[in-house]
Amino acid sequence: MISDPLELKVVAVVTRELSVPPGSINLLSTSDDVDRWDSLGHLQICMALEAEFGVSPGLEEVGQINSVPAIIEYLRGMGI
Amino acid sequence: MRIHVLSNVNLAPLVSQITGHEVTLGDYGDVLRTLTDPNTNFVAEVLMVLLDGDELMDSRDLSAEIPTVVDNFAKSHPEIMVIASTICPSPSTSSTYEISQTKDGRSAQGRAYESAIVEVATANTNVIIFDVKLVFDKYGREKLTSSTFWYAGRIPYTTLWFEECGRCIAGLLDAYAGRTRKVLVCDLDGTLWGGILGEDGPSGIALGEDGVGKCYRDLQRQIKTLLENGVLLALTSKNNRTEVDDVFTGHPMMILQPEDFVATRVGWGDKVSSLVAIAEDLSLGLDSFVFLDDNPVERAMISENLPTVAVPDFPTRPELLLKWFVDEVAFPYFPRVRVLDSDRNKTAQYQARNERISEAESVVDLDAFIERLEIQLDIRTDDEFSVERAAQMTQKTNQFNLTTKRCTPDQIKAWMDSNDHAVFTLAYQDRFGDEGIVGLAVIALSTADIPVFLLSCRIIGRKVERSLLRCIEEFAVQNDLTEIKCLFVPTEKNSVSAEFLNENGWVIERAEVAGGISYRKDLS
Repeated sequence: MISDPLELKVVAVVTRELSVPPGSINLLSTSDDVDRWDSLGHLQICMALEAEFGVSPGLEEVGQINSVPAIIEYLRGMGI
Repeated sequence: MRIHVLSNVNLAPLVSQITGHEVTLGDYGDVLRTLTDPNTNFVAEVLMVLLDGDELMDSRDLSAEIPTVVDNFAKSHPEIMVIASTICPSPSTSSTYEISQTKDGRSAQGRAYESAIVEVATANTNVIIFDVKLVFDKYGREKLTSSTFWYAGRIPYTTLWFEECGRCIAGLLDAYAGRTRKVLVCDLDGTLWGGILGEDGPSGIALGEDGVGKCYRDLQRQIKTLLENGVLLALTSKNNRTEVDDVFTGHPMMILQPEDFVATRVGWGDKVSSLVAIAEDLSLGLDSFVFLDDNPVERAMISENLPTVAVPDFPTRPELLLKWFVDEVAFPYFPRVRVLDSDRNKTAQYQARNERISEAESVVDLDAFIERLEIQLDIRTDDEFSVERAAQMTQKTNQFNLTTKRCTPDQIKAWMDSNDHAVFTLAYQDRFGDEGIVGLAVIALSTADIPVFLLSCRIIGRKVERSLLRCIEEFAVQNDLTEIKCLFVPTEKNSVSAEFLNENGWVIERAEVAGGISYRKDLS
């Protein structure tokens, strides 16, 4: 059970942006494990981070934050 | 509707943003092939060509070719509606200032493309233009473009661009499909002009070519444009009909004229009943209606009782009226793709059907609504801080005013200081806001008379006048009076208060006395 609000929100955003059933994304999910997490899906996730958290990942960061743990770490690093 | 979108950049996020329609996306960069291949197969009623200006300008061949190709496609597919976008290339490149000066530079090239594509739309009734510049003008390039997503995946725009363009395209499709509202119902005081007609008089309302007055005149101009585009206009106003007629016929700054309205309901009944009657008269569903009113209580009453009527919020500052009307009313509710001659005489057609002028029967549970307003009254006696406001109300209030006695601050102060008189002020607030002092009553103990009893027209219809009257009656009983009297002096403007005493258990003592009707109430 996820209780951390940030973790909950990230899982919800990834689930929504990839249009996958609730429960298919967890705290360990990566782009390699999820079929729909392709390059387009990844861009949609990154664009949603901008809208949801007010952060603008740069080009290099977009390439790095390709898993739920990496996204959470990135957001925490941004002070969120 | 089904819409197939072609672009020279990656517009994948757009698919989920055009709500209410089925959206498919052509392969990125596949614009020319789709438009020219005779075996092109997509299943949609609408084909959209939404091009990025920078990419297009980088390919001179494409920018020169697209208008011709779109023209040919439209002619050979008359069953398909084509939406072609304008373009909005970046204003600068490393050519710096030179760019806007050279005849064959990027700006010139962009303008040439645009005029060519507009020409195609003029020549083909199945081609319409989506002006993407509207979106760029509204938010600015900085907020709409993203280098990150461009280099990461050929998506040149931000989420905001996709949201806003999606909203506009959905609106355009709705307009094309005829899914728009038909009737704009307008209030008058604070909506089509500034101020309160009943208090400020025809010459005191704000309507003109300067300052606040111009805000309202500009709004009227926009509403007139909607009328010319085939939108029906209706009026609902809590006012006296003759005063409203005086403004329409006599005020030199009125843009809208009586004949512009297919239905006019000016009176003191509730607006829910007025809207229901107008809808019946016009044989239109209430889901065709948009209701404009500056008063949040009136808006809530419509929203709660007639949920299918669109009730946009109203700006609190007059200078925002024009922009608000265009962005929040005209675009969302009355979008038009093309205006036809048949649109223009709609008002005349409907006017012929609308001849009922009597006040509508009430169809609303007014008491339940008033209860939900959470009204709080603060009635004070001889409150010296209210002298100025009390005197001002006697000068301005014409409609709910039993005696229309005008008083100076000195007169009010003298009554407050005297043991023989009591001055009651009523302050009003509800869950929508604080109206301040809006009611006034004065009782003279020695003559058992009420020389002043009035209520601002802003809150007529919420039954608070009964509370004020009850206060006076209780005060009279406490002071051992066995009866009280009040003279109702009819004027041209106070017919709304004519039945008030009668409805509250008072009886006529003498029908003709000193130009009025003398009422009394037995308190024994």
